[in-house]
Amino acid sequence: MRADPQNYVKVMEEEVVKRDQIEFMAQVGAVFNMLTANALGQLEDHGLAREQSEAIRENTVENLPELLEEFERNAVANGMEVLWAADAAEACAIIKDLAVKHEVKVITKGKSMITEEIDLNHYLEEEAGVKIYEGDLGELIVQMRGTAPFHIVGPAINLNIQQIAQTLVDNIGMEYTEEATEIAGNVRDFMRRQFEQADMGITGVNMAVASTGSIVLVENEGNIRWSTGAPRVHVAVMSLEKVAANTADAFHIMDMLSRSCTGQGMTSYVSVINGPKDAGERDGAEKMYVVILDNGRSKIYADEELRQALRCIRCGRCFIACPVYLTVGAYPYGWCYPGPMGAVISPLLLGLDDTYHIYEACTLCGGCESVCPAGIKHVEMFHHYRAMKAAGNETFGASRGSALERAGFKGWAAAVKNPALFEKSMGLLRFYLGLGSEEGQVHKMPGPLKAWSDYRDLPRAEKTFRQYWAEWQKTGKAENEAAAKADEGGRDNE
Amino acid sequence: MQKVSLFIPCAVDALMGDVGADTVELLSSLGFDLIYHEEQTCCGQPAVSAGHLEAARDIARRFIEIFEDDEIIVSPSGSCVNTVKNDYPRLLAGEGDWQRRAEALGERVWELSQFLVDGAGIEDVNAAFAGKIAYHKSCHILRALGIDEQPLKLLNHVQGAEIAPLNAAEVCCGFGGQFALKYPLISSTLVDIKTENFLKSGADILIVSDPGCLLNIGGYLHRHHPDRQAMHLVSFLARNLKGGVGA
Repeated sequence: MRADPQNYVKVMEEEVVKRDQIEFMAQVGAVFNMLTANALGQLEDHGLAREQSEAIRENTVENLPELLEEFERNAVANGMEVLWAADAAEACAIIKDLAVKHEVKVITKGKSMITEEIDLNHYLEEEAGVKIYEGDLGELIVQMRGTAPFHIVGPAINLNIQQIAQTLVDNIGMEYTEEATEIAGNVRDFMRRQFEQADMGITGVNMAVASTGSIVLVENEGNIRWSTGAPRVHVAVMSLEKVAANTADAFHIMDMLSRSCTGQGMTSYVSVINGPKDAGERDGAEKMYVVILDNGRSKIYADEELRQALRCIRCGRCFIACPVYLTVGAYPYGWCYPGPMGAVISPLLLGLDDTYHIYEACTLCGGCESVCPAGIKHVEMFHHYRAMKAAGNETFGASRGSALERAGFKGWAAAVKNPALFEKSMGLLRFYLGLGSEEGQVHKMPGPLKAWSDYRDLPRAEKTFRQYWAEWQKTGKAENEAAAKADEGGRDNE
Repeated sequence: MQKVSLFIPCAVDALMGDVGADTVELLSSLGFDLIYHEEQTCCGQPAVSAGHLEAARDIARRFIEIFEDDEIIVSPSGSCVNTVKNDYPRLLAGEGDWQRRAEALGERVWELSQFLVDGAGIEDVNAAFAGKIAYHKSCHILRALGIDEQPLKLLNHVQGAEIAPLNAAEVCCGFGGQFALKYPLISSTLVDIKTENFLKSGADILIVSDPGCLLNIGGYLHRHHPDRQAMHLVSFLARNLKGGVGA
């Protein structure tokens, strides 16, 4: 999909008032919190397993160039063709050329966020005149409705059964039903016909294994296996951080991914693909390509502080730990990556100026990092982005922040460093707040503080702490000490 | 008597002086000898959160100079403690001696409930309350400092107090400092959800232990549900001491 993060506030204002959606997402969050907690709890030592997955991702990202080269060597030896794409345009052009070369008319897809990132579907439909069907049920529904995925793992998670049924009535001629199994059956029949006639399957990559040159794909519906096994040509698209040193690392990550994502010990389908089919084999593609996409990630890798953004394994666990995502939904983020996961990666890929709402509309509550199996320190990252924006950063698209804000903080810092000035400012603030207050609560506030008082009151205690302390020093201290001693004696006797 | 240096956040000083006063009442009732450096102002968290790191570093160095001779520093704000403990060493990284001083200071700064339970071994402050309360788990106390059981241990020892389960107790109330001013619609929706959960708990008082949450939830309740109340943990304990100190 095309990125549009600048419209965050406008879209957010439309979404944040949808109390039904918020209520529903709260329930979704609660259910998945329980499922994932159970699945992780079943591990013999969850803490250790998480430390391992964090360490694996950290080490992998540290050694990214070497691991990618090793993967390429082994994948080529397995008969795959590896193609490198510097950016979205190059990746799209590469895949279009492959479609033309192999005379492709119909493409089926396995659910893949990376193809959303490069907006591949639109490009291929417009430039190569092919017909593309998303194979994942949720993604297919989203494709038919022409909206962005609501969640990287559950793209249609926000839709109710009526909306889903109607979408399928309108698009695949299904007879209206609200029976989930009937709906799934209808889609299964429809998709089966597409898989059978498809010339090319396009999938993402959950993990590329450097030591074996194979790719690992996990799913629950079978659409990925169809797309990799039935069409003549298979194109797997991966962003360059989706690599693991060896099979043990890859499967530990897949284990943590499944548990953190859907609360499963293992997904229904796990495919390990070692290359195109050999002579005499019945299933598999005749030609297999792996497209490795950079699209700004080398720049992230080059920065030691920001590099941890590449550890993400796309499990989606952080989404349901994010109060902001659960309240505003996916659409305000304006791209395929919403939630905390998107708030970490999108600003670096799209530029800090264009995405500042994404990392500023965050309470820094740390819910995301408390559950991240890849060990990303989200709060630290959002601190970095805010600092980069304030100071300016050419590499990641931050022009120097507002001069007014800078002057404001400079003045504020001067006051903070000067107790007399600080006390005066505090007195001034209390005076202004006092104008709109009664009985220790402020109801109306001026200027930017109006955003507060439009929705809630503000306590304004009768005295500042300093005033209280000065009085307590004079009178209260002696009394309290006597009372404490008497009380101490009383307790000893109990 | 053990000396305790008070780290009173600027927002408490300016707007919630009563919370600071309750901190004094509670700690002195427990026999601690209190010190308050009057030159203390703000820990700089707003500058850290807004990314104005030069201002934040300036303030951090000043804070360290003020407090670094104290053995025990206690604050009724986990959020501000987190700034000193976790942000200062990061901010001053690479400034050799300053980083070391920040780290050394961080080890002596305590969030109030953590100090009482883990530092001083006090779970029963000798308070009683006849009624139902609920407890909101502030983000920075729970996740940034890893303090979970300590506030509840203190509350569990309040004679007569019934603690009602609170749905989504660990979810953010939507304060977030400048977030509340920049994104008031999201912030007010989050505090509305927090309030709904509190009302459903059936408790009379929602106990919070960070001043930011108190500003937000307390202010929202005062506007929309004036019959219900949010209260800082330290105020709840201090105002319900059996001897009547501070009552």
